[in-house]
Amino acid sequence: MRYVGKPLPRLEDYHLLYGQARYVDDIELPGMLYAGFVRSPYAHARVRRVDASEALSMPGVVAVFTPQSGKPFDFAPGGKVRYQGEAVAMVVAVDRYALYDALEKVYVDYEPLPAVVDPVKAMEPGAPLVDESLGTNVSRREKYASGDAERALASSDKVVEEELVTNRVVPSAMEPHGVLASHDGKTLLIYDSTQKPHIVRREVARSLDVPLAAVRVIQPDVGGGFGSKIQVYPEEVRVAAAAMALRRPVKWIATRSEDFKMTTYGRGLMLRYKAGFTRDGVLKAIKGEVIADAGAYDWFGFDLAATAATMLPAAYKVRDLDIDAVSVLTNKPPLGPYRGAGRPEATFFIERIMDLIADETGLDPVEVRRRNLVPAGPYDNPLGLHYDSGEYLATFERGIAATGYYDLVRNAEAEKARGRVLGVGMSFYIEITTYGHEVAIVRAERDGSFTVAVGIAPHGQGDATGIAQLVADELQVPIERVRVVWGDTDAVPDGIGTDGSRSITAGGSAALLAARRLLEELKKAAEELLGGPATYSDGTFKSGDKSVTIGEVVEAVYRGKVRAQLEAMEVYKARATFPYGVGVVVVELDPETGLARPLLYRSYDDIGVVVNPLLVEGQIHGGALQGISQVLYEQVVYDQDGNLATPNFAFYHVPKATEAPRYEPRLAETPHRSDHPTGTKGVGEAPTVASAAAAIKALEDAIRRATGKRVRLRSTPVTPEEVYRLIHG
Amino acid sequence: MIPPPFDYVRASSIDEAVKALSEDPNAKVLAGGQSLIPLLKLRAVAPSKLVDIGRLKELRYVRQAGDGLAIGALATHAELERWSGPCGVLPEAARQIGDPQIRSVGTIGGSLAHADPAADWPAVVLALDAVVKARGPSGVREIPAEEFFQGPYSTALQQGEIVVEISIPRCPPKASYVKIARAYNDFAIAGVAAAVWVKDGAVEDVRLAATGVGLKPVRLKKAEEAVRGRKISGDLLTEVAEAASKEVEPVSDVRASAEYRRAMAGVAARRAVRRALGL
Repeated sequence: MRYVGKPLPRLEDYHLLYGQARYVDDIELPGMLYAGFVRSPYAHARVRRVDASEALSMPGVVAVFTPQSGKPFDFAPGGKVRYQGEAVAMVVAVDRYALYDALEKVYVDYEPLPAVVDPVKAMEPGAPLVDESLGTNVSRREKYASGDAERALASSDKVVEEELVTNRVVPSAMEPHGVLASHDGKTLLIYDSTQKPHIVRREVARSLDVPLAAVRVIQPDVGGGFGSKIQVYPEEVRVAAAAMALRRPVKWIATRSEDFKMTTYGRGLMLRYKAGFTRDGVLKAIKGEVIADAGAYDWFGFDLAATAATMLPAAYKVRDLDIDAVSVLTNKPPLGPYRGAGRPEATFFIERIMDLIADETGLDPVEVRRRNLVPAGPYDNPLGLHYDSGEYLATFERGIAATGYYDLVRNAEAEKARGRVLGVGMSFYIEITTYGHEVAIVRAERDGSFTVAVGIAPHGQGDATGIAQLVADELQVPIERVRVVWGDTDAVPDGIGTDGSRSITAGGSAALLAARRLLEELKKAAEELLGGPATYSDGTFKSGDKSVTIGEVVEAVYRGKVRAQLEAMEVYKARATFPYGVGVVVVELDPETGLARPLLYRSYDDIGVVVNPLLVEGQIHGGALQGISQVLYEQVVYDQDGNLATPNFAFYHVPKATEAPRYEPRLAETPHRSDHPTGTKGVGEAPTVASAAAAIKALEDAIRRATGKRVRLRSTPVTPEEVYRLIHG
Repeated sequence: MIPPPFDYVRASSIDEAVKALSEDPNAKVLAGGQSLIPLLKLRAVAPSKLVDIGRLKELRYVRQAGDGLAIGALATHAELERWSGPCGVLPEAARQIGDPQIRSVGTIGGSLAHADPAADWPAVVLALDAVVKARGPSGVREIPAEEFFQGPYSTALQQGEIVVEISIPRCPPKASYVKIARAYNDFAIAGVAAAVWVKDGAVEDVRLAATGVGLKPVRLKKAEEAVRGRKISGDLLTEVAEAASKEVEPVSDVRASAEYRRAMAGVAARRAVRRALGL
């Protein structure tokens, strides 16, 4: 039995399906206290004084930490709060009722300051400064350039200039942020709703000056992250510090409204650019800047702008580029990675440019891409990225055929005659996944079963099933005899976690190599037992007419008959790899109201080796809807003072099953392997990367079909009201 | 949910509930809780006392009464969704409220008493010319729907009064409720309920009411005038839309601008009349 490639149902869902899941908030420890944070109502204010005396005198209140409490309670750095919802104090109480009543009784003397909300305005001289010590709101600016963009623009047949915007979105994981910490004098134990338990461990140990060995982080069941649980938030460190200081377990669970205030936001990138192209639709040059609306602290803003800048050329031939990546501080919660983290934005930008070239030249959007695509990898993109493998042009052609793109366009035309307005949009994408090291330990048990501990930290993706498939194949044992554990820093000493579509590629490769090494070790022991060279297959070592099972070998080691390592740890250093493909979206538009809904998502992806097509399809469903939703539904609104006008799900639309399209994903028949042992490239973000660009084109196409006018959509989301205005003037 | 502190009384009779409410101006009625609980959760309200009337089974009914209906205040949206008798606009509207979870506990009386300017039922009861029966310290008072809604979250109910019944005098032969919202289970950008009486291919009488397009649900009297007595035709639909758009006075908010709401009121009015007439 070979498992890789089979659509195995997930092995890790039993407890979820039977109502036995354990999220942070399900965990109760004796003597546990509850923590909460006093959060600024102002987007920008000086904090003159924090008075906790009344709160401290309330029944059930155990402690209040204020900026005067010292590190890590260094609230309001520089004496300021910089976004609405930034924490200024922390209250710890015996129960949540006492806690929430006390939070209202911590008095903060604020001196409101003018807020800067719009990143473009923030760059202007005289704008209020988020961080006075910088003397500017431009946190960082780097140039990514190749060739001679100015000259190429000058020699282009046509030059266009515009701004493209992907506005902020709220990651909206089903489970809000939360952490529970306790300290027994020996171990600081932290349960954390995180994507990166090992990174939390390192950050807490460093901040609180305790040895790594004394910190254990457990990632219990986690209800989604989408990138918002990558950052180690100050809250996580402060809860741990409070548990140490108070010598009692301390739990903090964000409410949904609180999550909206403190989580990292996604997208928030803009491209201001000039592009030059030939009459024949060949893109010659792009000059511009990717601006990140970084928020109050540049945790990720610059990195996201840089990712979008370096991925901007995608797999197109253009080599004359001059792109600045700029991160700008604003009085908003910090920007962070969100499913795709820079690549959906890069794809949105470049695909909008390709669509614009099609409009300007009158060429078919498919033909424009055909003329610009690099035929195949490996390819060194002009901004320093090495694309590993793929047939970009041929796969694009196959994708257009496989998705039935032209049939969908013809169908939209036919429906128009029947009074229904449909729109079809297509995008080609290439994206970058996988980075950093990953760690796995494979341990042989006495009965020939195996425990695999991994540093990746899946939280709904189903990676443990994929890892079990890889390891079971490598060890040639039934998958029932492989158990995968993760999310516990005691089980595996290091790792990075789950993000960047890296888990199966980096974590799976680590597990596969560890299994391979363990098998070599057991083979040596088997040969010693058998007295000669042995072959191995399906759990049995054979030498001549003698044989021994893998379990018997382990047993022999435990009984001292033979020496061998029964555990293999692999630290695998992973390089980037590049999945790519085609996404197609069909929307239906109600021209009288401007309301549009997605009907269909089709895709054709080359994601390298497919370990489990069922898991892949699950990723495509959710990922595609997230990209579509960014275009049609999700709108973060701030007023000019930096107040969040969409502070909860009553105002902010997360799509539900009722908004979901039909999904018809297809995978490349002949995928191009990555050079990782698994041969995989990752799929967690690919559909999100592909779908927003396709969705906005589909909506644009529908508006054009309804009006006969050439409209151009430049920013997400596109609200029904905007669509209505475009149709009705 | 971690609400501010409050006292709690579970009423075992309507009289007990009325008494508890009369004694305390800051007490609030808890029925299905689908509006009140979120507000408590957000600590946006801090009532001194909750008077829970949820178990008063005697307020939970839908039944025919003469040519119309009598609906107990605690009839849930889901129960109205399943109603198969006359006034088919009730299940049609109920289906468009919230989601199955909300519909299974939220009540029509609660929705009317909460008087959210974008709620669905208020437009429907206005179009049906309903009477809201409220019981208070001095007995039962009948409040026409037209007078019941006074502003955002504000009604004609006085201290100590509880909505006990919604009475619909006569079920219109043709009626429809159309809601325009951004997505499933969102509040209306605009919603219009239409009740139409047809005679000899013409509109004999019509009642139109809109929600989401002002500080309170409103009768669209000018739009009614535009079509009353007119022959049924496509032009009539256009005119009802135009008149409804002109007539409403919406406000801008984070969901939609006043201008867009105005346009959507017209679209909803046209569709509601069209659907009522079965065109």
